[in-house]
Amino acid sequence: MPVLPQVAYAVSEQLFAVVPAALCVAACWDLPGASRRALIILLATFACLLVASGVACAALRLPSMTLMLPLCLFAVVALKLLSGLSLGPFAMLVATGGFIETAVSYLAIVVDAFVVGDSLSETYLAWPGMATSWALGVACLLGLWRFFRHRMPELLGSKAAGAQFWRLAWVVPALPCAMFVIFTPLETSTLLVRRVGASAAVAVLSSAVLVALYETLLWRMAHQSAELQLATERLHRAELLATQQRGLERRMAQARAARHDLRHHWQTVAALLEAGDVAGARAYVSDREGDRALVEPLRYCENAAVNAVLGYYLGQAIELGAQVDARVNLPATLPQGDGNAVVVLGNLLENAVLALADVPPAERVIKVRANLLEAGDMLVCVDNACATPVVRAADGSFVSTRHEGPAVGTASVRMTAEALGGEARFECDGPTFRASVLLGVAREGRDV
Amino acid sequence: MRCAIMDDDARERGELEARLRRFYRREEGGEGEEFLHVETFAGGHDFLAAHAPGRFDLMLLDCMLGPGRPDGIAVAREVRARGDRAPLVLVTSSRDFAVDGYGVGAADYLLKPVSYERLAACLLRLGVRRGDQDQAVELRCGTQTLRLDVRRLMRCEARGHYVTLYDVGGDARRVRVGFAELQAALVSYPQMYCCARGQLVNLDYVRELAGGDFVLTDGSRAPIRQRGVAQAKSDWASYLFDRMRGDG
Repeated sequence: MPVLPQVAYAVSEQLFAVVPAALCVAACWDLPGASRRALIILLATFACLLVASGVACAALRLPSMTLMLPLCLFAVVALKLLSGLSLGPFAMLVATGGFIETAVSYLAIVVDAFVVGDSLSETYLAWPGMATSWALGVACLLGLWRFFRHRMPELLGSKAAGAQFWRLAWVVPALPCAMFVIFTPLETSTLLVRRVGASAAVAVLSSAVLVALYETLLWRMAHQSAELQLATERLHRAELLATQQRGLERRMAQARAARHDLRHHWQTVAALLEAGDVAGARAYVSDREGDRALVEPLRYCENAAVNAVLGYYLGQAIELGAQVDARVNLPATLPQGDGNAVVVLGNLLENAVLALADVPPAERVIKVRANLLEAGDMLVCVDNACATPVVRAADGSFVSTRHEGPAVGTASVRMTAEALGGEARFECDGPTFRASVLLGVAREGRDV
Repeated sequence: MRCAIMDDDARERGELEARLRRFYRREEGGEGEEFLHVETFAGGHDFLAAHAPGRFDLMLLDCMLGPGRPDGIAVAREVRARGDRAPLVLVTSSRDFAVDGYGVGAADYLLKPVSYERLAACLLRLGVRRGDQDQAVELRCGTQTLRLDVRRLMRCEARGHYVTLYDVGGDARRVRVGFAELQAALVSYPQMYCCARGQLVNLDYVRELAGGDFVLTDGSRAPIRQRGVAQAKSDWASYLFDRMRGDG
């Protein structure tokens, strides 16, 4: 074969590896730890190295795999460093990319063997194989782009999949990929036997269908799990808003009752004074000092939404006879939005009041602190007495003591805090449960 | 300790002053009376006429003054508008009125009638005793002794054998002292945090974390060690949570 076509075939065969690499890069494009610029540089470098490697293979008459495998290994290591993905999800991504590469190459060899027949080269693909591989490559790129760009990141970042899942998930695409590498015939003439060639083609196509089905099912599962989590979160938010409404209604009822009681107290005091019983009137007024309407604050802070939630839950704590110590210094409008503050405080206070009910009355204590820092970050601390020991799942999240499964409240608080660039901490310090939350304010260039 | 009491009710004003003096007599012994200087005001106009930033170390302001007079919160807002950051305590007959004082950064509020125990707890928390006021550290610099007020110290930066000390007022002093020696002297102050080699920052003056630095309230920056931003963020949050739980 003349030198120039041989170089073209060798380069083309190697350059095909850019297709799965581009798909893998697309999957990493939106990952929070990945730099898009670095990913583009990696892809361009990989393409250049593949061209150089193709030329070298043609010049030295080496099979493509000789130089291509170390280059792919380099690309995989670099992508691992750049993507910031943990090992399990990354193995899944690379195994899928590897499967595409090996399956298409294997199919191209089979087509080559069928078309070219006896004049088949043992080193490189001929034009039918090359045309097949590039046609399939373009089809893969177009057909799988959406999956890799949007669905794969969702699958890789799914919170429904734990470490144990990722330890095994990558095996399904990796296994046929390894098989294709191992069973790529050293002497392609063996494929000329019609039965062998047909079996190879069927093996490639059926494994491709199975891997596609497997990954689609995994994505569906991850997607539905995320939707379920979102729906649970929305339901919880709606419940909190309803709580806020109930708090306002409770306040109005209290105000009505207080007005009614006030009229009654005036009449009693007036009657006592008319009877000349000044000491009795004084004693009556003194007894009223402890009335709940006077003890329970009408407002805890300037923010109406936070106030309603605090009023509702701390009112319940007061009804339980708890010692309530609340210092909440929040303005009428919050940079984080009232909704986020309500979600955080509502969840923490709901848990705290539920925990207080299980504690002996004399030990019922709740301490609430909330403040805004100069830069707008919000700090929230809720400490309460608790009797039930806190149970954590293997991944560190809390297990609900009220129902089966994970605790929704603390998970919701953590999610809200992390979405705002802050953090949530939960500690059980003997008989006290301590929740500490920092809600940040998103601004350009900020780390908090 | 210069303290201002503003209340339109002479009896309540007198009682508050008496309890304040009792606190200082108990805490400071015989020197308490000398240490404390109280000025009382019957209304917001009188108080604002006498007020100037830095004149008082503590202000106890009644929230609800008589009709036609500025209320305590309006007076407090004016005090803050004048740039005075001294601790300010709102005195009120109902805590619902004190809630409106968000913008004035009130350190606390006291419910009338103000009991001695509640006032004492408030003053202890504010750290307005002589010992609390004096957060001074003495350091040997060659033949001289350097006196550092930790409350006013914003950050320290070491270069070679010298350390530059940046104060709240914008003053910078360059002194010859070992950084390790300075760090050891400040180790008992949780607000002093070593964020990088040769860098100490007072967390009370940190406004935010941006671009891998601590940004301070005066806009200056203290760099954080490489790969240490997440840890510094976590340590800063821990300090803020502890401070808030301690009502600081």
